[in-house]
Amino acid sequence: MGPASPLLEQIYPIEQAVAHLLQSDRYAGAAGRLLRQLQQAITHLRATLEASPADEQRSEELTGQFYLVQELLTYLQGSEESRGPQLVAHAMQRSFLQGADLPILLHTTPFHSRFSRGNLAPMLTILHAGLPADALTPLGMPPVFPTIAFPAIEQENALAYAILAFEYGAVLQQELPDELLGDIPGLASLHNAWQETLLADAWATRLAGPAYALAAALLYPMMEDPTPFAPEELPPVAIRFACISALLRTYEYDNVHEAAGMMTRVQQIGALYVPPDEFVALAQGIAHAITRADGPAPFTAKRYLQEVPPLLTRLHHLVPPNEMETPAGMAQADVAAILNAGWAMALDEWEAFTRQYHVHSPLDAYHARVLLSRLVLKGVELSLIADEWEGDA
Amino acid sequence: MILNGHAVRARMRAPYPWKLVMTPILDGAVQIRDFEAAIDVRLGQEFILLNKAAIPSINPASEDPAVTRARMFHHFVPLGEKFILHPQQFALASTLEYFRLPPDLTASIVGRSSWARYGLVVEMASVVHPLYAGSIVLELHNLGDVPLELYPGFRIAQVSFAEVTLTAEDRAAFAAGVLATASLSTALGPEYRLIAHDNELAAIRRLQHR
Repeated sequence: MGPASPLLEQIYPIEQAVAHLLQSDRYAGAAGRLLRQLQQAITHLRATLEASPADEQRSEELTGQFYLVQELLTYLQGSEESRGPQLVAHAMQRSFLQGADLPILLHTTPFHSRFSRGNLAPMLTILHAGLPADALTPLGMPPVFPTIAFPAIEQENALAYAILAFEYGAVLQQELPDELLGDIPGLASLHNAWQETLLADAWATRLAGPAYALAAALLYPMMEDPTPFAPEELPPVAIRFACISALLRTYEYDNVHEAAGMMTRVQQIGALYVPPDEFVALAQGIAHAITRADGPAPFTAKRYLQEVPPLLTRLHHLVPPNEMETPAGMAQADVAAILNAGWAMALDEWEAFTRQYHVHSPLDAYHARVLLSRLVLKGVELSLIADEWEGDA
Repeated sequence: MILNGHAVRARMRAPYPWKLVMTPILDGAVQIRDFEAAIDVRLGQEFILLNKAAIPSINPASEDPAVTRARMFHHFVPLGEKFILHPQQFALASTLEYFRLPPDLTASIVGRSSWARYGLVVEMASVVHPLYAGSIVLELHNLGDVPLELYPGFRIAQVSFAEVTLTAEDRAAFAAGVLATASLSTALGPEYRLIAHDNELAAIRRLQHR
């Protein structure tokens, strides 16, 4: 007997597609749990339709949920297969969140999606509303569903993956106490979305240093939506750069000779926009509030000086920047140090590198860039392997 | 002269370009033993299988790189999970460790005897030349009668290092950076090198069309 509801006819292949997605190694841990909840929602929807196929009114109620499922699935299937962003996100989760298994389901897309983390989460919440109570038990908090739209040309650029620090900043900024937020001059007068974005930028800069600023400089101008739904939706890129530049100065990167080339680029990009004084003051206020909340910045200018130069030496010798020699022996490199070393090589050391390996033609230069990206990613992978191997021993 | 574990450690501490890089060493005491003639290396996380149903044959004279690449399956196996190699199945893998050989060292790799006894062949092209940079690609073949469950991170092969004679002039040129100490063609995981790129193919084609 075939399905009686047109909606039901469409839901079987969707159910199969979700089961197929779940077999992928991209959905481990919390991401897999979220996807299984989506699967539960679909199964529940199907069961409801099968039980009362002739109930037109009930079918109409479920149609909305069905289209949400379909839209989410289309989105998941269209997302990027590359393992690079997932790898860097995994390393960041382990480093920035101390391995806490937060339900962040990361997706990168090769196209500019109209979705953002702000409207995918409600979609899942609406779906959950249609679930029986016992299906909701694994869900401890509203799901975060970050979506990163890498422009196609940057999809395989590991340096661009530093942008993912924003997602961890977005998680951490929610933990700032209200009294600290109240002390930041000018923050309260901003729309909520502006506050959240600027605070997440600040956390990301604090977590990943200049690498985040440079990835932001590379990607945000390409990704800025020229037709936002509402003026209060997101702060303009110009304002964000003004804050990020001010934050780097607050974290004293402009005193680090080794980061000079990177700081120059950030400042040049910042100079394309006119940073209003009140936003510089705001950025400094945010940096101080975060420092008061959680001690000194985890990836500091001092750490940059200690960790980036030895990793750069490895890159010069075509060795992944996964570890460094210390007086106590070999130490695993942190994902922030690895990404910063990659950026330093690309910006400050590139001429020496290409001379060393006799790179002459534009095609050779392209292959050298690809190799740099792959070495950086290999550094993240090997560091993560050693970290997990030791940590789980 | 083959290096023992003690000498391998010394070469790992040497400055570039004489430095031997082998990273990460997850358990130095187990992998590099002072008086043994080989060190243990581990299985990496990436595997490549050929889609046999879609490839009639491998013919270097008509090999289309794009088509060959499109007919490969890439598998990534996270630590803690397994890759199953069925009887008579062949797969490419690589060492988990990344190597960079100095100009005066060569390496050779063979499977560990414990795995060989279950029918697992790990390596068929075992010589690694000086100046090589990258993971060592493994050619896995299950010659046994039962499927083998392979876990990334397992010690699966052993590598021995031997010194290669260099003239004093070459040694000085490498030290001064006049001779390149690596090339940009590194293998960061398992990969097929296309036979179609081999020089002798031009001669073969010419002979085919005479």
